[in-house]
Amino acid sequence: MTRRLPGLLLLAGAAVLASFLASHALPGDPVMLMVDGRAADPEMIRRLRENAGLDQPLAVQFLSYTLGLLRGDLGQSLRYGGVPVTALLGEALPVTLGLMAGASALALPLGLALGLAAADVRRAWPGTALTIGSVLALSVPPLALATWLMLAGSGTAPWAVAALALPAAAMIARLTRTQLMEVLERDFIRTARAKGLGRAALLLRHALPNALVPLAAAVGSVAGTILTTTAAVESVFALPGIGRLTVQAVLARDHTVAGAAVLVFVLLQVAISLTAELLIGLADPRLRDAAEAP
Amino acid sequence: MPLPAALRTLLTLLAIMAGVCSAAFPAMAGTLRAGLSDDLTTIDPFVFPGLVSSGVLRQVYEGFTAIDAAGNAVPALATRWETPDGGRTWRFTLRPDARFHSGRAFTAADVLWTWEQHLTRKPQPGYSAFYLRGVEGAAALQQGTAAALTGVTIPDPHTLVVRLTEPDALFPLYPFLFVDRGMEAEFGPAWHERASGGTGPFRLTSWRRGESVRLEAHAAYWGGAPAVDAVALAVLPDINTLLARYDAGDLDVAPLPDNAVRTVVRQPRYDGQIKAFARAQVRHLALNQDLYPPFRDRRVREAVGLALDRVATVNGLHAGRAELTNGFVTPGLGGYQPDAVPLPPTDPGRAKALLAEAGHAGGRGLPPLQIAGGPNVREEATYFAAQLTAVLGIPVGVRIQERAAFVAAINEGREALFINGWTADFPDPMDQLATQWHSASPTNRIHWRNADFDRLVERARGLADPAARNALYREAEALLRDQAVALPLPVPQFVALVRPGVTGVVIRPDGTTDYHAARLP
Repeated sequence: MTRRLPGLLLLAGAAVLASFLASHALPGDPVMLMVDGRAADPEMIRRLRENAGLDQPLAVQFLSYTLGLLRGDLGQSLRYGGVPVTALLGEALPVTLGLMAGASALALPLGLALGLAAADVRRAWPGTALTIGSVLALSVPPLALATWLMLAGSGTAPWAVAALALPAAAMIARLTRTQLMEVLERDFIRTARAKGLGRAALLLRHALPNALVPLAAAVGSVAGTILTTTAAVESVFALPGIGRLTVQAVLARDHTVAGAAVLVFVLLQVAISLTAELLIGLADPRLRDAAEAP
Repeated sequence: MPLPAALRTLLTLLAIMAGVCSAAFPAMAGTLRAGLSDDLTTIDPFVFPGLVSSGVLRQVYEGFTAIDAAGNAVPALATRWETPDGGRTWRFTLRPDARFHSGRAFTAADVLWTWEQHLTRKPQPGYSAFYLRGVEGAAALQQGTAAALTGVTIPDPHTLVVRLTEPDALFPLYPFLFVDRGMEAEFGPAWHERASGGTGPFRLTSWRRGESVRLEAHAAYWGGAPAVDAVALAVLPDINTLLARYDAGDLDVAPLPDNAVRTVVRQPRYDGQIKAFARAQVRHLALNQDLYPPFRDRRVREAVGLALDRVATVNGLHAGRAELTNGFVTPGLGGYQPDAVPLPPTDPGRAKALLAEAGHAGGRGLPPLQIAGGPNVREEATYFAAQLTAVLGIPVGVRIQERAAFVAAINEGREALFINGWTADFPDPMDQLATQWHSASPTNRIHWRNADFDRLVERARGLADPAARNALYREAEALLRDQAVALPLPVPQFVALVRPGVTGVVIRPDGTTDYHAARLP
């Protein structure tokens, strides 16, 4: 883990620079947006621009922003009249984490159950049904799926969880089935079957534990997909999470909030990757030992 | 039977998520539930509020005057305002029965405290400092060379005398929000996050950023307690989400964004639930003569106007929910002259002839043009561009930009032909004439300059009699029309879905919704 720290810091730095430049490269004046395009008072416009540091050259703005970040000062929101960015993130983060936790809690058992049900070597239709269903769930653009579920559920939040969970469950189900089908072909399964072990016991006690290692490796990408989809889902369902905060900040040219929100996304992605690695190590100690070997 | 742990966790999370949603729609008797088109940007009455925040804060805070449904200035916290010297000195008689949400009485000292706060706030002044710049001593207080606002005297708790450096007939109409001066001592500098400090019909009791706002009735309101106990506002910027919530019965009032009106009002399931209100907004197709030299010829500008079928857009694009006007003062204001000069009918033949007279028969020698605008005018711009191309032979395209980019482009004078509008901040035509066309205005976005026009609006500013002012406004408007500096476009009404049985909801011409008289079935 410590060996990866410099790389992670570099990644975070690149994310800060990229979001800062991307945000400032957009046409449009954040101060004019703050006043709804109404520039009746030039003095107020000048003071707003000065207080936000927008009258400074871009390099000075970036330096000041980065030094602030290093001190733990994320700055103040332009859109929300000087509210600290940390306060905005503090309000939005629990909503996004709640959504992600809800979606994961729904997707994991659902995906595993569907994968198990479809891993049937005797009949073809469960596998075909899963393939068709998962292709559908993964092919529909997240924004369209979220809109469809929002309309179906009158915009209530549990449907937002479903909008995040369905594609993730489809991914898990496909992976589970593929891994199980492979394990079910191995010799020890044949031996167990020859001993007269029932299908349920065979799957749950022998095949599933062996399929879990590659599954754990895929959890990171599933959780990452859930995370990146939150912006669309939160916007459609009007949920005040980090994703929606980011979209609004970009539209309002609220550079400080947009930059900090992107940084949070990067840190969450890193946390997900590290957690996935930890899970893999727990599932298969050989991999952990190999990773820790000098 | 005990549930498995995983299932318990799942149900708990779902319950939490359901809670996130239901918090915006508390099921409480007497609570009116409405949608908000965007999040508030502030609840601090000293910070520039923007249109959405302003709509909410005006339920909570009040000024000397308010705007009624017809666009007239009506008494609010001042019952009378008089000037003995043509608008240089103003004597306000304040409402004796007005009380703040704290229970404290509203007095002239609160007005003075509010103004001094606006002028002395750091690091930037309050947004009303702009309206106070004419008060004697305002500059000295702002620069720190005076300790008090010397131009204001308080003969008694309910009388306030204001001396201005120059006559300003509009001073009583400016959109001030007076604040309880005891709030800061009681709750500290960030008092607005902890308590409600106005005199309005509703107290602001919660703002969940990006999610909801809750207003509760002010029982001691001078205009009588509101008929509803509370108003729960849910932030729903997406039209599909707004309609889904309305259809599900989660909302009593759903104000519609302009670009959704046409499709929503034509759906039979909303019959009897559509309410439309006049909007104090001017809209025009602006012609920048600096950027596109052919526009310097009046005949070319007039030809553009005659080529457009603006009548067709009222029904075609706005589903009849728009006011056709040929003026530069909005239908939602007291000074509006509905029948002053009717819109000339579309006349392609005359348009072509004028263009030929100007030496551009069939569009010959005219460089290509683009109609610029924000995303909400895409269809209108496309329609007009097609007409200009077909009738005049000028190759006209459409350039729709995201709002921030569009505002930046017109502020920097980079658009030759664009659709723009201006919603009134206070109920007087001055706000629409001077801000858009006076040569010194930073929002004169086509940089048109005319000394006669400037003199007319400057003279009007010194006339305390509204009738005399309106006469000058009519002259100024005629000058704009005669010069064809821009082509007035239909003004869409504010439209909202209102659940059957819900009455008294009013959207004022400035876009703020008034829930004071709202009643639930």
